[in-house]
Amino acid sequence: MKPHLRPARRDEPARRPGSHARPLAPGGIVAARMNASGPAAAGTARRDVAVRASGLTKRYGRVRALDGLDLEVGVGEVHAFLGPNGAGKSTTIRILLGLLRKDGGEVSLLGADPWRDAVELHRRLAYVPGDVTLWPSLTGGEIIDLLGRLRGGISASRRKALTERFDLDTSKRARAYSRGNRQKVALIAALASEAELLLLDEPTAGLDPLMEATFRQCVIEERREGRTILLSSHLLAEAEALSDRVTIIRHGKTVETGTLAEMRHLTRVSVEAELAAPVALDAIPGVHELTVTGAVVRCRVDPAALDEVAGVLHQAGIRSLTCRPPTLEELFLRHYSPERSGAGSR
Amino acid sequence: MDGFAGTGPLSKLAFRRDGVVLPACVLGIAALLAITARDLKVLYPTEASRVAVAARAGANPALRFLLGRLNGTSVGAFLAARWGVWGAASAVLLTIFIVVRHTRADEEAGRLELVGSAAVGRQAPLTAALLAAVAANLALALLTFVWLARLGLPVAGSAALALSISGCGLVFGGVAAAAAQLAVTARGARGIAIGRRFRLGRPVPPVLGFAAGLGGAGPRVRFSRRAVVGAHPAAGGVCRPGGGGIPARRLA
Repeated sequence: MKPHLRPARRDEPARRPGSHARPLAPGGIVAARMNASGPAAAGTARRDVAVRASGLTKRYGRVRALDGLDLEVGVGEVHAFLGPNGAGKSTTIRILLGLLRKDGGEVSLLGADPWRDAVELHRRLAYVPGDVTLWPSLTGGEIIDLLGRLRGGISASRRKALTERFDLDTSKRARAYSRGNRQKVALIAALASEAELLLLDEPTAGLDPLMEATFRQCVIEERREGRTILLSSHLLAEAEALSDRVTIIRHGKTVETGTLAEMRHLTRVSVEAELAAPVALDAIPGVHELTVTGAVVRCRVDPAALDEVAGVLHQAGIRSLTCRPPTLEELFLRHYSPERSGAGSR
Repeated sequence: MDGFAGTGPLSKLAFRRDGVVLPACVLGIAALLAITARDLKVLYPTEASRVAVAARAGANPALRFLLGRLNGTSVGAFLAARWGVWGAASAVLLTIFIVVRHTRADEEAGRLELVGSAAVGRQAPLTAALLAAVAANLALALLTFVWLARLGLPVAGSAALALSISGCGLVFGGVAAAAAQLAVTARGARGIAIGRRFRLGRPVPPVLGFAAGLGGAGPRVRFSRRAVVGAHPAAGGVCRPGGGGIPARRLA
C-alpha cells in the first residue's frame, strides 16, 4: 500500500478495476478498519503525523460525547472527518483546539499538547467553526484583520485575493451578513493565514453551490502548498471530492478510517446490465439484491464475486453495462442506519 | 506569559465595540452629578437656605429612611448624600454590563470560540474585559472630579466623591468577573452580579450582588427589568431636560 499523500480524487472510481490487485481476503477488511493495527498506524512509520488522537473520551454529565475515538491525520493530507450530527465531530475539534479538556485518552497536535501548548499551537493553525458568530458592530474587513492579528499574521495579498474570490463585501457590518457571508469571513481569515494546519468544522454549511465550488478549489490549492486540512463534514460529496483519507465516527467512536479506495473494498459494487439472454446470477455467492426486469439485471456484487459475475454477463451477451463503485452515502448508510447500529464492523 | 497572550488586541476590540456607548454612559453619569450640583448651588445659594432644607428633610422620616441623614449642610454634602448613591449605582450597572458583555455574553454567542482558536491565552478575554471596565471607571472618576471641582466644589470632597463612585464600579467589576465564571448565560451572570433575578421579579437572596450592597440603607427597589430602567439615574437624567427640577422640589 502506497502512502496516500496525493491520491486521485474524482478520477478514483474510473481506476477502480486496478484495485483488484489489492488483497481481498477478510484480513484486508479488518486491516482497513481503524484499530491500533489499522492502515493509519501502519502509515505512521512512513509519514509525519499532524494530528493524533487515540482512545479519546469526553463526557458531558451522563452523556458520553467521545467514547474512545481514534484519529490520525498525516502532514500534508486532506482528511475528512465524517459522522452524523451529534457523533462527536465538533467535540473532537474543540479538544484539538484546547477549548475543551479531554477526559481520557491521548491527543497530540503538531507534536504538542493541545491543552498545555494552546497559544503556541494556535499560531500554527487556523479554525473555522461550523456556526460562525461575529461581532455585529464590526465590519467583515475589521474582523478578518482582527482574527489575523490574534493569530499572529495574515498575508495581505492572500486576504485581498480571497476576498475577491469569495465575493465578500468587507465594508459591511457583520450584523448585515447572512449566514453564508459570516462563514466566508471566517474562511477568508483562516485561508489567508500562514497556518500549517487548517481545522474546518463543516465549513460549507452556509455557502451557496458557487461558493462551495470556490471553497473546494481553495482546499485543493492549500493542499498543493503542503498544508494539512482536517475537514469535518456530514456532506459526503464534499469529502469524496476533496479528501485523501477519511475517518468515519459514530457515537463518539471511530468506526472506519482509511482512503476511500480502501473503504470501497468494504462495500458492494452496483451492477446494472442489459443482456441479450437471461442469466442466472442467484447461484453465485456474493450477489445481493438481485432484480430482473425483462432483459435488465440489477444487483449488488461483493468485490470478490465481480469477476465471476462479469464472466456470466459476458456469456449472456452484454448490450449495456453500468458498474458503479459504492458512494460514500452507501458507506454511510451501512454504518449509520439504525438497524445496523452496533454492527458497524460488519 | 502565555495565559495573557492576545490581551492587547482584545482590549482594543472591546474599546472598538463600545466606542460610542461607553463614553456616552460615562459622560451621562458625570453630567448627572455635575448638573445636579450646579442646580443645588443655584437653588440654595446661602448657608441659611441649606440649613433650612436640611432641617426639613431631617424631620421627614420617609426621606431619612430612604436616603439616610444629611452629613453636613454644604452643597457637596447634599450632592453626596442625595445623588452619590445613584452615581454609584450607575457606575456599578455600567461596569457589570461591560464585564459580562466581553466575557460570558461573547462565549454564549459563540464568538469566544473563534477568539479561543487564535493565539489567545485563557485569561486574555477576562483581562481585556476588566481593563475596559477599569478604564471606564477611571475616566468616570476623572471627569466627575474635574467637573465638580470646576463648579467650585471643594477639591478634596470632589475627589472623594468621584473616587467613591468609581470605586463602587470597580468592586462590582470584580463581582461581575466572578459571576461571569459562575453563570452559564450572560443574563444569569448579570443577575448574580446585580443580586436580583430580573425575570418574574423573583428576588434571589442578595448575598453577592449589588442589591445586597445597597442593603437596608438603600432604596428597596424591586429590580424588575422595567424598574431598573426607570430607577436608572442616567435614564432619569435623559428624561429630565430641565435639569434639577424634580430634585429641587423633593429637597425643598
